[in-house]
Amino acid sequence: MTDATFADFDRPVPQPAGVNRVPEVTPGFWLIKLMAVTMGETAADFLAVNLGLGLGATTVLMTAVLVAAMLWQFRQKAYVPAVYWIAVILISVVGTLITDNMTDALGIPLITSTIGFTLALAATFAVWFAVERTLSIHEVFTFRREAFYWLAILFTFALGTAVGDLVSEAFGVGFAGTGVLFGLIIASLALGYFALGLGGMWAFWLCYIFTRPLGASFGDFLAQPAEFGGLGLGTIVTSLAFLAVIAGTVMLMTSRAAPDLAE
Amino acid sequence: MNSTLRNLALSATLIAVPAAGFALAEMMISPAVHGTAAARSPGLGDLSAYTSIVNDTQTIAATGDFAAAEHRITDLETLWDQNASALRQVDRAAWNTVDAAADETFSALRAGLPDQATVDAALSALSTALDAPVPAAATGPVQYVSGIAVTDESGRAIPCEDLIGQLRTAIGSTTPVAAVADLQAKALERCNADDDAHADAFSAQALALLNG
Repeated sequence: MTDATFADFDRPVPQPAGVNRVPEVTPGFWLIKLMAVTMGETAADFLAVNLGLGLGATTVLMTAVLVAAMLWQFRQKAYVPAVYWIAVILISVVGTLITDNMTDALGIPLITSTIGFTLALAATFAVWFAVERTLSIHEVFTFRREAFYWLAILFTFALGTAVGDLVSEAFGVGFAGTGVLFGLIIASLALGYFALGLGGMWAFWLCYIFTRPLGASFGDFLAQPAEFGGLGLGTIVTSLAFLAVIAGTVMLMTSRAAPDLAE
Repeated sequence: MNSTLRNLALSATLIAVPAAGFALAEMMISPAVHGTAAARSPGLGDLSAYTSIVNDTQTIAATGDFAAAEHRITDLETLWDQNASALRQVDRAAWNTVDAAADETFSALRAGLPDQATVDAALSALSTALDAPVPAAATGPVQYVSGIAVTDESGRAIPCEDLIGQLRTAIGSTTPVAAVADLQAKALERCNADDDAHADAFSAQALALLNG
């Protein structure tokens, strides 16, 4: 992408005072989130496997890049789509690498890491609520709230990876089957939110967890060769296509810039 | 905090219902989900030729004629050595188990003064090893592809990065033949898809080709 284009969507979205530093949850939000997940996973795989950096070196490298991106994000003190979504992509990569390291390098069973990350996420929410008396993602006004928000997101990615891998190991149905399962769970949670009065925060964070394995399955479906049940687009084409969709949506969001602070 | 409990229960239900439905449908559609794992289960195939020699040797040894028993077990030794490389390719761990038991038997029968109890024990151990070359308790469900271990002792696929790293080292700076390059590409692709089992199988085949 050129400097000119980048400068375009680097522009902060104009917002009223008491600005929310994170985006409202819209269909566009979920679209980018789903794409970002797969982009992140593919990028990590590319570094660790294709370039042969190995899991350890990739983790160190990507963690350093993530720290830089988080510093950039925190400095904005507002929701800047490009910065925010770069942070999400990188946190997706690092969250995935944490689980991969625990499984492959430390030999921790997936069921243990699934339970561990569930507890870590629950503890994050408990402390977040105890300190702030709210878990609202509509009122992330301060550094501390934003720190809780990102910590929770890191754990959702690690947990989503562990759950996804656990399911594909337990069932051995491949990415298509895994995709169907997590698609059903997300549809069920959506039904709960819209029809059965499931709390918005619950629905949001649970969907955030389950879109991780769904996105990974979706990406595999596009990228994997036909003999393994995919469409055979290859990882490079898939990643570029996803990047294009992300960039397009982010630019659209930036240009529309309609702050929607209502529910 | 009643709403918390309500949300927790509702969330659990909303996740459990589709998951249980999926598991049920999965069981009905494909009862043999783990068929691919079973197909690669360890073992050396038909070993009845060896078993019958062991049976003969046991009969002869029971008469106390250790020279004749030794003569008969040498037939097994010859046959075993002839097929060693082929059997080792199939399952190295199973081959090792049987080979160790066979060696025990040879040395028991070839001792200066063979001891009846030692000979009987060695022969029955060899018989057991031939019946079940990979006792689950002893060696665990380590799975092999082209004689290269692709799982650890708990049966979990080795991280695909590890075998790909080995393959990369084995290839070094040489240009691998097309078949190896093809297998390596497939291994990379499966590894990227977090499909360790398939990736390891491709890497192992490529390594076996390289090792000749």
